[in-house]
Amino acid sequence: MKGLSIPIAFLIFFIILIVILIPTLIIFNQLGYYSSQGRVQGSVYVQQQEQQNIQIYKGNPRIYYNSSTSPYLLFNYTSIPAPLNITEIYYYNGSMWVPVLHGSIVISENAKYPLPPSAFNKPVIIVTSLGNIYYLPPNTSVV
Amino acid sequence: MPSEITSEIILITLVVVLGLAVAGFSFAFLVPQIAFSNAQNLAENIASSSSISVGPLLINSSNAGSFVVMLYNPAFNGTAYVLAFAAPSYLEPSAGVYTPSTLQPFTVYWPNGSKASAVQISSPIYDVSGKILYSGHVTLYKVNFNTPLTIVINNVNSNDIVIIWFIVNEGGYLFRIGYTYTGVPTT
Repeated sequence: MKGLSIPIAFLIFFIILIVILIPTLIIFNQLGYYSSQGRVQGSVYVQQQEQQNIQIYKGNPRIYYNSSTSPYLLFNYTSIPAPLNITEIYYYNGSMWVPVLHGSIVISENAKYPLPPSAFNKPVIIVTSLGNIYYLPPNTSVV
Repeated sequence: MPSEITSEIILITLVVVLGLAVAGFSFAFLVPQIAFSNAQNLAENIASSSSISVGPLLINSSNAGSFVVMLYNPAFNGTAYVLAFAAPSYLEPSAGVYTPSTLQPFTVYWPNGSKASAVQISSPIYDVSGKILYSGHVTLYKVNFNTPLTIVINNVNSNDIVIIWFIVNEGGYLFRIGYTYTGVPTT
């Protein structure tokens, strides 16, 4: 009977190994794998946003906000037009940002977009489809 | 002969008790751990593929600030929760680890002008590494990804920054998948 206790002890160790150690190792090894998947994908979106920032800061298109009594946004391309998809335009009415657009507009050539007269002398922001936000105080362009 | 039976019974009882203890431990500790870890993986995945854009904070004479914020992730169409709170501007470098001490009332509006629905939360909010960031009663607003949001927050002044948290619910756990902050523009 004494000889049997050693194999039983080994069996118990084996069970503990399977039941505790292996799931624990699996749990703590998965996190890095999953998060790197998201990071690879996310870096593509961020690159697209940066690309758009570079285009706009270099004036392609140059966005000018003329804040007269009939305010408008002026889009001027200086080289080959890079389409700019604007999903929302807001102006600040003195207490909150008010949306102007209902639906999106695509700017692909020199264009002039009129804003409501209530935007006169108020700051404006432009939200693009790539998730960039550009801030335009009255009579300035994006820099 | 009886002593052999006794030792055998002791051995068998010991093995059974040990087996039950191991199974009990794995069900009580490892199973919730696996569930939490899975939720954390999903949240981490959303967090690392999303980006947040924010516009400037403008404050009117009655100390109500307003800004536009957008949680951008073209591959994800779910809902998130948003929390906004003010902090002194000297805390700007540590905006990622600052947790609210006093919460200002705030409201979130959709692009069509209607108000987003508010949710009362009292379960803890984790960061994506699984640590508890904030636990306490808090009001969040339910919003969509890829939608610009107008937020109006009361009781802020021009020395403040507003910190915005985006939170997702994965498997019943709340994870902060991203944060950003905004302040009053200098020009």
